[in-house]
Amino acid sequence: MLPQSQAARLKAAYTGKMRGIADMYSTGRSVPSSVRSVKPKPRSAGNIGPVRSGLVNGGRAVRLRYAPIDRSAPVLVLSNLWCGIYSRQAGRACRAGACTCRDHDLAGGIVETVQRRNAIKLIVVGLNAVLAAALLIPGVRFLADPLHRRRGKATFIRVAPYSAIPDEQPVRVPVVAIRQDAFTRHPPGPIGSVWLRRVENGDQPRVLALQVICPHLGCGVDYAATRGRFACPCHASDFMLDGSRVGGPAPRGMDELPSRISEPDENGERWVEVAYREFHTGLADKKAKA
Amino acid sequence: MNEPAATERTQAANTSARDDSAIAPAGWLEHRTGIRTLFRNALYERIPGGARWRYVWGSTLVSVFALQVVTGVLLMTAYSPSAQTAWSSVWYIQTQMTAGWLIRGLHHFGSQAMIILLPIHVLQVVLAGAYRPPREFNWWIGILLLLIVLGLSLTGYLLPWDQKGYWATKVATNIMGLTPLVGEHLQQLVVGGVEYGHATLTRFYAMHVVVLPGLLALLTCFHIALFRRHGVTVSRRHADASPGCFWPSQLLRDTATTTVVFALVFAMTWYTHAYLGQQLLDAPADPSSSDYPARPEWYFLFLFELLKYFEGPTLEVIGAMVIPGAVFAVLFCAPLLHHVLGRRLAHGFVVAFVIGCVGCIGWLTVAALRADAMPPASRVQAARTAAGNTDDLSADDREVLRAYSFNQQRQQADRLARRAVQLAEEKGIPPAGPLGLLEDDPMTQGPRLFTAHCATCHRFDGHDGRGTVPLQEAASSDLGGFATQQRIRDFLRNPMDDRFFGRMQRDDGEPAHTGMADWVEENAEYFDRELDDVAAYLADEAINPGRLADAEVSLGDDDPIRRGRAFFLDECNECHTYQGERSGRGRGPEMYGYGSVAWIERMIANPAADDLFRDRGSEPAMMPSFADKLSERQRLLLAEWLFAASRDDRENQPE
Repeated sequence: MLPQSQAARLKAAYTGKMRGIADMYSTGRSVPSSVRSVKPKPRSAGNIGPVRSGLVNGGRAVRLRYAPIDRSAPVLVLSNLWCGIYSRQAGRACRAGACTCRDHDLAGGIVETVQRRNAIKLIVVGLNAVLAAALLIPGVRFLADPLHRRRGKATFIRVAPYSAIPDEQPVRVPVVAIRQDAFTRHPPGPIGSVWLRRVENGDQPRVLALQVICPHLGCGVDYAATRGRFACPCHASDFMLDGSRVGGPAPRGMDELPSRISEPDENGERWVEVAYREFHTGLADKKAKA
Repeated sequence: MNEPAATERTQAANTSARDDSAIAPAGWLEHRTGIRTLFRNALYERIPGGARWRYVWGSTLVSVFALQVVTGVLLMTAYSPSAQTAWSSVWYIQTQMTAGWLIRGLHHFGSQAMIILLPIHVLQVVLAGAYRPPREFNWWIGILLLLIVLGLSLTGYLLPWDQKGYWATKVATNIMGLTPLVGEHLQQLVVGGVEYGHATLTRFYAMHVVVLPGLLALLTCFHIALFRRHGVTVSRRHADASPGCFWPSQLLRDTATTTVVFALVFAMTWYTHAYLGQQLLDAPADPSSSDYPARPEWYFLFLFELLKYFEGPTLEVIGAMVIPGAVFAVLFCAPLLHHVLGRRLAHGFVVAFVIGCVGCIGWLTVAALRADAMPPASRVQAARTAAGNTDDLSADDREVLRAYSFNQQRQQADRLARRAVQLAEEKGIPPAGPLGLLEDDPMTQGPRLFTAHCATCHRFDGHDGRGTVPLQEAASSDLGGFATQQRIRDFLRNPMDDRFFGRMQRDDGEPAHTGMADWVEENAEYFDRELDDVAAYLADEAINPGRLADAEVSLGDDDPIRRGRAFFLDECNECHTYQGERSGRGRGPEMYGYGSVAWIERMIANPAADDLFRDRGSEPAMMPSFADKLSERQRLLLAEWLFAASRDDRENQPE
């Protein structure tokens, strides 16, 4: 006789709540006559290999309702794996009641059950998911590396001697700094330009520094000397000398950069220093790039 | 018509009806693409004799190849193939990018996993007799796949453009150049010109990322299709067992094996990165380096070892081409041998041949590793002594010395690799490429210059600056710890010690530089604390030249450095000048900034300068001038190294 728990499990397998087709097939060794009498179906697209649909009872296929895995699923998965690997080859019965990987019919035959196959499928899918995740997670992090890159903090850079700036007209000067391009550190070279213009500030010298990049779509803004205005050559945005927008598609005025005048150096020269930044274009608000 | 058949037909009809209606989207897709059928065909493969662990190797290889493709494509997004940028971009991936070390490590060790899995797969196929008719074509495709994988290893090895890949590739392509008739052209085609550089990298890159993987993928498809056509080769033992199914029984085994292999690859990556702290990156390729111990990657070591038995250009062709070619010819003919030898004999021969090949490869690999292993210190000592005494060394001793010098060079190369990574981190890589970092680095160039120009007479902590103890006795001082407090203190107690002036002899055989010794003999016993003070002062003078000459220094009167300065002015200044002035009549070298980089540079440039050891008088300079032999830049590199290496954490210095 079957042990009580085994019988209970068999019963659960046949009368459980989940719907589905019982995927039972014999392992071919000590198969009870009732199972052996099944005639294999011919290979077809829907039925390939040894997989059979339906439990055969007296030569007739019937649909079953069953409970694939009960509450102690993790225990079952482990014990099923153990039995699947070590006992099945030898065709031995597993230790009574230790698992549901195969059930014993009354004749002592071994029938592989839905539970075992589902457990294996679960393990296979689970392992493959783990492998994929192990590769996918670092892969995505690697691809997302550029998101972690930041420009260095804007520091004041000397751009021109104060004396070199004319009284009336604005002047365009390059900003020279060290540039890091991924793995290459470039020696100091131009990284951008600014428009500089002297402005009234009582006795103190002061300079207005405007980013040359047009806030519309990023062209370089020119100075139209005849009109005394800044003008973008791409889409004809016009700006006053203080950078405010007069006309054209630009969503905001030119971007002012913090600037200051240094103390005189050993040659008595005072330098204009600008904290160089770039800003997102196309926005009404001035927003510094990361 | 019998009853079961009718049932089946009804059921089949039911099934197809369900396919289209019950699960509508899946049925819709199936109808248009046949995807479900495809999956079913792929998954519900019938396995005669049941699923077995022994069938896992092919699947595992496919999985590892998939790993290589994924990590390879990721690496391509950050790698830059040119002689100036390749090393830098790999360094950037390895040390700067998020998870870069992981992705690159997986690719690195994944390739090695493939190399290990391949022979296992081949052995399994051969033992099962799966190379025999009707599976000949699959066997031949398999051989091509094997060659492609080896090609991938060879081409991938160069891509970091580090010393290891550069020199290994140079050797490999030089061997290629030995091919009769076409060798020279072949080599030039592969190298992309006569020089190794940009074109070599771009060619190897194209091969590595497109041509070879494309071929590998295509042939793998054929390989699997043919495998499906003929099915597994069931051993006689399992012939009667009931059939199994690929899904999920065989796939469970395949997945389990793949998981173990992936786990090992991950573990190796983690172990080398986090535990050993290795970057898997040698120093940048330096075409001018003459002492790089070139070796192929471990899985090609057997070819390297094989070549040792074939010296000379003609014989080398035999070792490098004829023998491997013959092996592959035999493998290629394996499925046809039964026509000649009969079925059983042919199988026996093929099995024995393949096992023999694997055995030979293993043996040659072990032999190569053993030959390069560091010999025990006692053996090295004996061999070096023998080398000093006789011109005619025994083969054994020569071999010991070769292995010793190989290991020394390997350690040098490892130090250089660490230094290059450190410099890239600290200084940033200039646009001209990473090589410039090392060329301007005193810690790299200093030891080289010391070995080449100074170590004939001097030592540095007993060695030649790069860790090798020369066979000849030193003819001059040991400069380790130059101008440090400890060394000056020792010097002032006994200037004629072997570390200082003891080994120097004038042309007439008399000891040189005895003036200092005379003073010590007369005076040292009266001064003890004072000598320590003066050592502290002079050590400070090396770091801050002229600091004590300035009255504004915030040092208490009781500070040893201050006391040392006072003693210096009282006693030493009688002979030793300080900024050209002295209080007595003796003639000793200038002490302003003694031991500083500038002082050392002047000393190297011209030891016989009037304010140093002079060229005339009772104690002429023993050291020749290097003003002509070394450029000012080289002298400064040497001086900076001597200064820094004397003060660095001495434990980091080579033995």
